[in-house]
Amino acid sequence: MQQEAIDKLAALAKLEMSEEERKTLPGQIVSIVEYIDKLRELELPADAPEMAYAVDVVNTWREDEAVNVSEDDRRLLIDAFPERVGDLNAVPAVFSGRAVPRSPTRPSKASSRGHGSVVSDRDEAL
Amino acid sequence: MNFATATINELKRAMETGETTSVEIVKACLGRCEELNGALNAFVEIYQDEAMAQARIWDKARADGKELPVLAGIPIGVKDCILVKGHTASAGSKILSNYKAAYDATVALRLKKAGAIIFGRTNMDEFAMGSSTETSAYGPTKNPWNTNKVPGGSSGGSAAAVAAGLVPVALGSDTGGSVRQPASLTGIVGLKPTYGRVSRYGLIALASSLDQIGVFARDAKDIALILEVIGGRDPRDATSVETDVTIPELISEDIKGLKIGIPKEYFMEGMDAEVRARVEEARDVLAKGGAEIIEISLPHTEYALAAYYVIMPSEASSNLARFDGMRYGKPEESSTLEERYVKTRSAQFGREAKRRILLGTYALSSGYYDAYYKKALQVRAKIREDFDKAFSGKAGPGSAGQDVDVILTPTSPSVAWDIGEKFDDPITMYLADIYTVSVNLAGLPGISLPCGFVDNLPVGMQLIGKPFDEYTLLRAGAYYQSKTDWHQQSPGLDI
Repeated sequence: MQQEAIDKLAALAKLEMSEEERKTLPGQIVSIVEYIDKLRELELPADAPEMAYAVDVVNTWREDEAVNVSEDDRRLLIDAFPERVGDLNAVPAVFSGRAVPRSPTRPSKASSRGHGSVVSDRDEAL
Repeated sequence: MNFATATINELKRAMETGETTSVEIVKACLGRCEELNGALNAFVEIYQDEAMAQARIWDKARADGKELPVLAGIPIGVKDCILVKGHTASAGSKILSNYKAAYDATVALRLKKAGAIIFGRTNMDEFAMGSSTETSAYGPTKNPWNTNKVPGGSSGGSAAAVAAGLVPVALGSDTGGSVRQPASLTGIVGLKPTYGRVSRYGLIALASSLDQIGVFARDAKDIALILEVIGGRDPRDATSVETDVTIPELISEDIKGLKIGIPKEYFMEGMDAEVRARVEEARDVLAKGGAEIIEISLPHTEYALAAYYVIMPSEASSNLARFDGMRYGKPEESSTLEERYVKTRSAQFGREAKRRILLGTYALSSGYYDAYYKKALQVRAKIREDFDKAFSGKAGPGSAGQDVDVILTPTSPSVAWDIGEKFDDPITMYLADIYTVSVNLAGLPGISLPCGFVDNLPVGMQLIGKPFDEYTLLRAGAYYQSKTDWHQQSPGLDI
């Protein structure tokens, strides 16, 4: 596997390698790939059964409804946000290079809309 | 009473008879930590005030004659990837270093309801990726038997904490051996339950189809007690299963007629001769107790580690995609979305996490999916089939028509190694899990029990059971421990 391929994988995985990692990681990845290539030694029919889970998994459906959480739980979730505008989670814009606002937090509008919307579209915050 | 070696069953009895109190037990644990944790780095955080406050509450309830739940006043260590509400849960990673859990993992909730005192969070390899607890952002944990050696991993903090007598019992998680292997390397008991036995809700995921929360303790009966509390169906984990097999509080120690399979593929040339000798001695102890020893074959064993190192990184790379610096953590300075992803992940994931993310991304990429991921799932089915045959009497050649109840193997190919020895050599490190990964791939229960020493370092044997038949593993373990005293030996801790 070439450095180019490793760089492509890193880009797909949203990773950037340091100079030191560029020296060590590719060789290690190659040695691991050589090891897992052992799987090719075992010949199995193309339609051999696959096992993804050890138990039968049944999807669990529920209604798509906002569920209230306690104020305490809500606080813990909001407090975990790296950056906030009021009680909203501020993230960089998805479709442009606009920065996260650095303005001080302002009074929240979230509480008046119930507890379901702690993660917001940042554009509203701008 | 020696708090550093007592089992939780002994501690329970001592509290019942008034010989000790929960406050005394918690104080003893705090005292041991004060003395030893600095050198061992087993706990990354101890909830001192909270633990003492809860101990007082349980002591008062006992003094008032109230009916108490089964683990009332017993302190327990919890691996840093299991959420305990209001406390940091970092999974040993810089990327979660300031993350505080907003809810309790189901196991934490069940332990609290049963009266257990969550004593602190234990060190681990970053995101449970490792076999030595060296990849933690908090630095390595040391093996209590020799502090120049690794304790195994990834749940090395929990293992070292129990082995050193810091707490009587601790939770870990096991994706490819992360409970059993450190239990083996530190001379204690470690159980990985059947996939689905214990809810994973609130466990920070490594590989969701392989992860299972497990237990470290000094003896098999303590494991049974904790398993009974944490096991069972949880609506919040779709893979958890309600089983009608309950673990009786008193485990029979009779193993007459128990059929033990010895897979020839696990005892090949080249394995450590001393480790092999200890496991064979353990086999003889079980045979003397009336167990029948049967040679079996698990022919796809040689492909297990390769399949594991495709499936685990594939799932891990998907699970770790959520760590993008958006909803929690401390993102790196950045001006655009893309930059935040890349800078935060690059700066805050450790080397092993990056290796596995890249590997998983590779195995799942369109040109390689069939050759690696699909093939690995097919091999996984073959491995499960091998075990099913062994448990139903079809695993010849020497075993024609003979089904086995449990399978005996070594837990780890070697005893604990020097810190740093395998750190930069991933393949050598991965080989440490060669005897344990098949059990996760097949979703079976496995237990490691201490069975002797090589060069003053503990050796463990592994018993593998039928799905949801933890009872038989614990029964065989309890019998073995009634005939041996390996589990009662303590490290000298000349620190």
